[in-house]
Amino acid sequence: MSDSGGVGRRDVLKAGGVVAAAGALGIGGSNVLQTLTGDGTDSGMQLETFVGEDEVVQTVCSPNCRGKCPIDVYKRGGRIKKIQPHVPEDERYKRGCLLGLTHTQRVYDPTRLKYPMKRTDWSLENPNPKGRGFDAEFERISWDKALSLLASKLQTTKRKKGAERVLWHGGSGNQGNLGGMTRSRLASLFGGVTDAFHYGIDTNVGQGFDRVAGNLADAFLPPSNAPTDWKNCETMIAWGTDLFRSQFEMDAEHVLETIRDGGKFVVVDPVYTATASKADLWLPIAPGKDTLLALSMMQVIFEEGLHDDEFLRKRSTAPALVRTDTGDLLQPSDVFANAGSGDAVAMNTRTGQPEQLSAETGGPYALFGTHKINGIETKTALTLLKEHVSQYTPEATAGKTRLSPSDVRTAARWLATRGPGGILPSYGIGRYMYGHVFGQAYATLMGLTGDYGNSGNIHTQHGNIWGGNQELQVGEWASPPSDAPNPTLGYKDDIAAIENGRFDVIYAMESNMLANQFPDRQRSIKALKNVDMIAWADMHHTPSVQYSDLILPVAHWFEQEDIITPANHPHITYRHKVQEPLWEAKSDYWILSRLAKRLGFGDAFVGDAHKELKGLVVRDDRLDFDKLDKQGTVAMDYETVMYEDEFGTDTGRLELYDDSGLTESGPGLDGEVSLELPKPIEARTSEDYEKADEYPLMFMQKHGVFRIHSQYEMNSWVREINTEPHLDINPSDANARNIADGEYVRVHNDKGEMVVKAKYNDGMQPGLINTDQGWWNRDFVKGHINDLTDAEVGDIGRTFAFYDTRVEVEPAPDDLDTEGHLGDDLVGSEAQPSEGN
Amino acid sequence: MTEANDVHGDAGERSGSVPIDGGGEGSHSRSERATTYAVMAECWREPTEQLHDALDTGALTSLVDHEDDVGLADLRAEYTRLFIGPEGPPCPPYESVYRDAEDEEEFGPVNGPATMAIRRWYGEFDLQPTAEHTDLPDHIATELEFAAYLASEGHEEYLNQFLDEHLRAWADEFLTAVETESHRQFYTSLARSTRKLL
Repeated sequence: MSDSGGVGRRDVLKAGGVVAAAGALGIGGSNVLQTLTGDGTDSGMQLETFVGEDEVVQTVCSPNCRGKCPIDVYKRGGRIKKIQPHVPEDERYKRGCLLGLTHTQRVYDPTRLKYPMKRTDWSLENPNPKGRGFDAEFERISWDKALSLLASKLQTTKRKKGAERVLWHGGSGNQGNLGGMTRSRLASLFGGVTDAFHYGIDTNVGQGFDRVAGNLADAFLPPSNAPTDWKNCETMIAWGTDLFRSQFEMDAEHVLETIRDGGKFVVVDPVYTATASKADLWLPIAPGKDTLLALSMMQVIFEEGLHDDEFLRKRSTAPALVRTDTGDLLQPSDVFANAGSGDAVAMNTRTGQPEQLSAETGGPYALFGTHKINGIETKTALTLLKEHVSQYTPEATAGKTRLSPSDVRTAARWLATRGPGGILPSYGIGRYMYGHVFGQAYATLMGLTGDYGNSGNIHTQHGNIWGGNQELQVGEWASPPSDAPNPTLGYKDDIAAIENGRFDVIYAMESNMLANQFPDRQRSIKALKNVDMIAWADMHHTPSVQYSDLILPVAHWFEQEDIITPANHPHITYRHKVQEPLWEAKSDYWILSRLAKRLGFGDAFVGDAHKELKGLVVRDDRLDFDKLDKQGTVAMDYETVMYEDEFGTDTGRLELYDDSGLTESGPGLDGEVSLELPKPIEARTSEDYEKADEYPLMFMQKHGVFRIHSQYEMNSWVREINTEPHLDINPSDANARNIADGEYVRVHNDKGEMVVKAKYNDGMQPGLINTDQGWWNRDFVKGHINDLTDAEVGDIGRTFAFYDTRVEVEPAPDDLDTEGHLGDDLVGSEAQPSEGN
Repeated sequence: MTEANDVHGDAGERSGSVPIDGGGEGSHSRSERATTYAVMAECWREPTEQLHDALDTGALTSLVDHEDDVGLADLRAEYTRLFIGPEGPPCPPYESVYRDAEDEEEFGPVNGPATMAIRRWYGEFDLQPTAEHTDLPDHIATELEFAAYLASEGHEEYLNQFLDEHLRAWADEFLTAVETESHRQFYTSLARSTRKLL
């Protein structure tokens, strides 16, 4: 090194220079301490032993994987050293996964957000939304300044234009109760729009299931028998879910136990997955044909007379008479002088007379046939179902499903004849436009086999064992009575609302949706230009954070107390604080309760999370706060077997026929399709789709083992083995396009493009390609996975259809610069951003 | 490396043979050395108006270069980009990031074993970060501040041991990163000066 810069060693040590510098900087006297203090208090760091002692803190891992696993965090010398699964009170639900054990890396990641920051070219007077993007610069500001800017903008907006011009956006990035409830409470009091999964994400299949089995599950996947009961299942069909690799590892042992005990394990998946490799029978279905397969299985059950007549008579609307003139269920008032409304009518074969159907009542009802009642022509619902499915023999559908008819028959026979059986879908099929019809179809199929209410019956891949009642019961705390406008938007409506200029302010938390995870990403990024102020609270510098004006650093889960209420295991759990937040990170509760004070709602929050939680738990009769705090996990009562009682439908029966008049006329359909019975409708997976020739490949974005949505992207242990996004492609598809294994390819359609590395994968069927979801902007050489997906939704499902995406693939251009994205040898902060198109 | 070794390492045995520009005997008094470290520490903190004024008046020309047209806002923006974020940052100013990495090519964690050792050094002298100070104790500025304290209190041997065990063990890698990444002469020259001082 030379001294050419003008500052040499002698200069540095020149006494006069230093003294002058010190004077100019106000450094004088004998006290040189600025950030250190020896104020006489015990520093607490006196060395007592060279070995140290472990301190173990029980807490909870909290992403939205539904595992909600209790964990033990081992600390030594004030530092987190390792993480282990914590065995909960009910030891049968011991659980954990490798991602959960990597929090040592995440909590001490040097790229965490550290201080509140403001975009340098943003101000209250001149918000300059065009300054947002990957070139935006930020300056550090104090919490006082951040909250004051935020409060000021919120107050001005409310006063001048109304509180409904504020969007309180929240995702599922932190599955504690307190942050989300605080958002909701403040939005109620101050006013403004909140948003939610209903409808928009993962609300598709459950809606169809609910139409048949009753409104059970808030449109997410329905309640299911508890995992501890699954060993009694004789035929288990994992449908459209790679459950051993995604979201489910913590309950995988219950599936493996079933297989060990001789239960048949069937996997329906277009991809040869890790889960398929464990199957007795793998049905490699073509993408989007799942409803068709369910219809074929029903056809087999009818053809071979395998339906459970006793169940159908007693607990379903199979014997209900349907008017052939109107297609409506025959009403008791059509038949009887003094009848009430609501129930259905069946034909009693012993008396030869029509009879009003009640829930949970068997009888010698005709399951099939045409019956003329009071001059009205009717057929039983089961007859209509049988007639409907008769066209879908396994042989007739094989051309589309690409399945062997004998395999389809085997699966149907196993489900219907081997004793208790169950179907375990996840959210994958709901990512096709009309996944709700699959929900209707499989709920109907399990009605034919009469499995509901039996030990060994399963309804989803994750045992939603509490039927949705797991949440803290806190009355109106999260939505107190208020005069302020406080509507809720489904995520599916967010983009259009922002696009239409409905919001001046977005406050976002626990989410990386708007600039990364939402479909049609370029559209939502463009829409954000309509917003004056975006404040984003997060633990990490996600692409969405980069697109904001005010960055609020949020504490890691280990740094904030909360109560976790799982759906998949029966424990209310306390998330103890393991350490104080690093730098100036704060919990969402801290941020929002301080903001509330500035907005005039200071009295609405205690301000201390521990005390607030204690006050909330007092409202819940089931819980004892001290026990919960001390014990960490408290096992609650739940039902092992679901669907034993009356169904939540109008008739109290499983409704095999829906006469509510529901129709679907969404994308890809030719006019209105009525859905009394499940019909195999499709959007872009259809061979007839208008752009099927131009974009011949179906593109799915699997939820893989290395992410929970887009979380863990920055985790250094994960990145060692999960280095960059790949395109899984069958070698035959690749060869046809002159694509070599490991070569960069351009994936494109009329929405956008991305450039990733091709990876030959024989497990992909020809015509279907995949890139695991959850990558950030910087991971792509060019473009983004969600530059290819569309935000369009169907009428009923109203859910983003991420997998209903068609693309074409070609070798990446020769002159493409593949440096600079976060590839094999670049980790964390060394990555450069890659601008989307 | 155990944490215990960090506190009372073998640096004492080596202290006589290492170059000790900052801690040497002779031409500089105790207070001058302390002042040098203190000034350097202040330069590595977030730029203040006072720092910028001092640069403008030329009071720091013996230590660092400064471009006349670089305002305080520019300096702060550069400091934020290099050391805070929100993206990256490219040069985390913490010892453990450089010393506790599992892979030399990658950044290590914050609050690592090296940070623990630093806390113990401070604790041995009844020092700890102030309640208002929210940054980590192994920040380059705080370590320099502690070196200034040791110098001002006349702890010659401890100062040398501390420099050997800590600042000299990691600063070079950090300073090189600053020299590579910085767009401002102030930080490239500060990195150079700091290397010389150590």
